[in-house]
Amino acid sequence: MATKHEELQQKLITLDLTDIDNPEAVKADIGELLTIEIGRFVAKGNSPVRGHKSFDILTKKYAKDEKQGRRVANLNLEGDMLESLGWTDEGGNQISVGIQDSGERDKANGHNGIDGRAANKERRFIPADNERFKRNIESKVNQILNNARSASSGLFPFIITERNHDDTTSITLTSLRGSIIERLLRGR
Amino acid sequence: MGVRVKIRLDLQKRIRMLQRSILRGSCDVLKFEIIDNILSGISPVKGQKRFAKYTPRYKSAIRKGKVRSRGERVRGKSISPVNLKATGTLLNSLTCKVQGDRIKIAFTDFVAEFHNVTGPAGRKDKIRRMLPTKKGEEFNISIQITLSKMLDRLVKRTTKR
Repeated sequence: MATKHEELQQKLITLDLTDIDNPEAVKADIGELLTIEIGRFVAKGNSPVRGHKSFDILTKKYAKDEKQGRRVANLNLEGDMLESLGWTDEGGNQISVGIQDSGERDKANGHNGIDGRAANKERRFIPADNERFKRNIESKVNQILNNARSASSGLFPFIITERNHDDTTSITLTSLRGSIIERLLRGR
Repeated sequence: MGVRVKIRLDLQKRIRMLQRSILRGSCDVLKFEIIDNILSGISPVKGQKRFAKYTPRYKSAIRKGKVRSRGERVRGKSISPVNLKATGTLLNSLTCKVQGDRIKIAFTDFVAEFHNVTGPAGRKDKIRRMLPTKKGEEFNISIQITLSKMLDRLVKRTTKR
């Protein structure tokens, strides 16, 4: 996955969409995935950017005043900034992921370290020009691309069938056998 | 004189066994992923994105430490992300069972109905989908991909044997 930096509230990502029948759906899946993964990393106080470790914990006073004593820096105070996290189709084989609401971009700049704050206060959650997402995230993106290139959609064949009377969900793996054989033939 | 060897591949049995281990593995993965998504304030259901924010009144009650759940006063509850965690009973009630060729996954706690279907206090705008119980709904792409990776891993391991 090649990546190109545009600005630090947005990450422009160039995808290798060769041999993919439905690139629009794949781009949508990858955009959705990156949005979710950034949210999951940040919620735990971790940076989704390779080379950046967990965010420094909050001061005791700030945590007590604003975060009910929780010291994990999860970039969530009211949730406005992360709610505007999303993706846009940039046409061709590109998408951009980042903060969509222009009103929230200053906050994102600040957390990403654009405002020149001290390194220990920087909480990088959008990769810069020369940076990439963590391996775990990139491998999921590659999985989407590989699945899309295979004969079928390749995604785990979950088919939600019904909501049971006791409010449980039943999942029938109807095409599981076919999916196993297909994977055996592909050598995966 | 030629040598004749008879090999019994038992492919059907192997595939059946693989199917079972995939179902069991899926249960573990699903339980972890669903809870992890919810604790991050993200709905495990595709298309739902982040959970709806708490009302200003509820936020104020959290700040003042006045929130009560199941008769207990809850302290230190998170305002954001909205993680549906007060006492932890709801999230602990997630169960997953393999039944034949099916997985049955459920939050057995009665509060799940409020969040997933009716909305807390009947507020439809605050419905927070925790499980894809409606027809046609799917798990979000992150969960689907994690399952897909697990399936690949198990198939790879079986073919190496």
